[in-house]
Amino acid sequence: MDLTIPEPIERMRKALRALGEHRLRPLGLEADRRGAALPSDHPFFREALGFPSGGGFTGQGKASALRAVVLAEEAAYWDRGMATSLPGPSLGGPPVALMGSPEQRRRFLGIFDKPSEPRWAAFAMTEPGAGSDVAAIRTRARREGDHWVIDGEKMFISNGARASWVVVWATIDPAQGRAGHRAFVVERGTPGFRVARIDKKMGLAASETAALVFEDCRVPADNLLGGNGAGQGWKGAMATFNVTRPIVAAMAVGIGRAAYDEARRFARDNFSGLSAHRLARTRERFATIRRKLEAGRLLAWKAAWLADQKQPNATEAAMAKAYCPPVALEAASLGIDILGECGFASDFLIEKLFRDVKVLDIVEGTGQIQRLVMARQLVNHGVVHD
Amino acid sequence: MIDFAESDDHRLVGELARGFAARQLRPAQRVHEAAGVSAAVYAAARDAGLCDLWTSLGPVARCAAIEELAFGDAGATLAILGPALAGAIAQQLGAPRADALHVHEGPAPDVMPCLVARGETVLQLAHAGGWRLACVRSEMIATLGLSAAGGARCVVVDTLAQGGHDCAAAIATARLAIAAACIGVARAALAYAAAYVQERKTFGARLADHQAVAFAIADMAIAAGAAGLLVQKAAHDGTPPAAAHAFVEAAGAALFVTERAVQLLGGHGYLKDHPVEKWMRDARVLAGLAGGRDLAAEDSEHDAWEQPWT
Repeated sequence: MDLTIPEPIERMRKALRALGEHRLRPLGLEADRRGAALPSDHPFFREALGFPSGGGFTGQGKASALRAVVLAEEAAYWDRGMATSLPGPSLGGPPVALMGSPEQRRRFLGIFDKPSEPRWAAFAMTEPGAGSDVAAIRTRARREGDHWVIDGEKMFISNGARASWVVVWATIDPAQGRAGHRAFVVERGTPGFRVARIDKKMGLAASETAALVFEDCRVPADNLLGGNGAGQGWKGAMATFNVTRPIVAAMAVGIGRAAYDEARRFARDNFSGLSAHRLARTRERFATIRRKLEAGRLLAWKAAWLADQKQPNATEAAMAKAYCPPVALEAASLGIDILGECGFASDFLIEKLFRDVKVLDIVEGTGQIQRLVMARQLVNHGVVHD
Repeated sequence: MIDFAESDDHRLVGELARGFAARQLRPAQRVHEAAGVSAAVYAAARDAGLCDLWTSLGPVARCAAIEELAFGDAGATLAILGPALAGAIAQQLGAPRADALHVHEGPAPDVMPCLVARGETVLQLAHAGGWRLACVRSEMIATLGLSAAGGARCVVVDTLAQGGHDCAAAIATARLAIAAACIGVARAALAYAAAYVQERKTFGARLADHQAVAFAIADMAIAAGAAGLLVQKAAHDGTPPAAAHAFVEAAGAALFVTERAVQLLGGHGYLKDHPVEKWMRDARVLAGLAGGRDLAAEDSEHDAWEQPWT
């Protein structure tokens, strides 16, 4: 066992820290004040080109879920919305990396290797009638000659409006349930693919969240990921979640750590006059959060490490995802308690962190879904170590 | 390099301890609870090398072994390993060999409850610093849990040695061992409850198929898993603050998981027909050892307040 961050990743983390302090956090605050993400032609995105922001789910190099979680935590510490907005394949990367043929990986991920301009990709699973119940997606795909024709709606799609391509999950037959799921890469500009709206949210204004519509949208047959076998799309989706859930968990740890730091700094600067009893209570709350955040980080690291070792990690990924976001929300809430009335004023960071963090307990499967995933593994498959 | 793989030592001693626990401890846990650990089991543990954990293994592998043994029976584990733990801590402090440990606040007490299955000396560690090796007269007493380890009321009859060292590292060694045992008990209760809810049917369905039950199983696994990683990290880091953080979470996880296990078994969980009621009692005693949760929490709070975390 070793818990030392590898030197190459540590160097990236330090570089990300500098970018975070000077660019991600100020720009994230600016986006929050404006209530909208930075436009895709904002100079910052060109400045951030080639910046190591993810797990290397591109056309070259070795993808690493562990690298992704370490960097995701650091980026989210400075601003989770801006972290999601950094150019790159983002959540679109893992499904292409995991399900795509070598040719598909070259075509779709290769554009991120040495980009001459900022580019994004996206991941589209959720629909108005299918959130946690992924099996209930109703976006249809039908084969017509050398194409697949897609009809349906997707929502809550990060970077959906600026993405060069979107991985879209659809069903070839709802009656087949999960077996009917397939995944397609739909490129921007494909006729029939349009952005319906950009969502306004409680937090994470710096992250663009779009609703997408597909109407008689014809995509080449070559854009089908993972083949046309029964259940391929479902398997690919689950494999993707096993990589992305630890990333979301790590982001939660990052936000939680930011809230912890803000609150601790405030308390140490301002609480010298408190009664011993009140100070003891405050210190106890800080220690509790600190322990939980540290445990959350280890859960995310372990789940990602297992993914990199090609070992089953569904339970660990769900565990990390279930555990970290509520802890981070607790950290933000602690911050508001500590700052008192300052805590809910918008000129203090803690107010924004509280709004930003909540969604992490919802995306990539709610905390409830993670518990169902875990229980199925623990009870039905005897994953409990005995 | 972040790496959660087990070292060869870790894997081998884990397998050894798991097998020993399955053969010698779990089947006999009620017997050991009533009458103490038999001489044959002590001998078997010694022959297997399990009494040499503090001399032959690094802290990560050692914690894995303690966890596996406590998965079988935490009371017997402490009966077998307690003297070795006390001896290792005595050596850490440069003190003569001891049979048992007691962590205290304030002045060293002359009368104390202690787990002393076999032995006549208790190493008393003061949280504020300083230690005393006391020769004691022991009177066996009934305890809430961990009875196999031999609960006793110890009366100091002589001071054999004492020192003024800072005991933080020594207390951390004790906390780490108890924290590992807590994880073993929590995992045992989780595994037992997970198997039970798969078999037991209510309202025409398996207990496991009711979401309230499924969520409880998941939360138990999260608590044990999260705390278990903190224990591994504390073993890896080797610092007193890390051991304090790990102890608080591991003790909390053991208390939570064992109580939930009793709850999931319903009335059956309350019966001695099943081991979960024993594990709930054992967890409660474990969480009070090595100075207990509040003392560890105090050290954890001090670290969180004084040291930035990155």
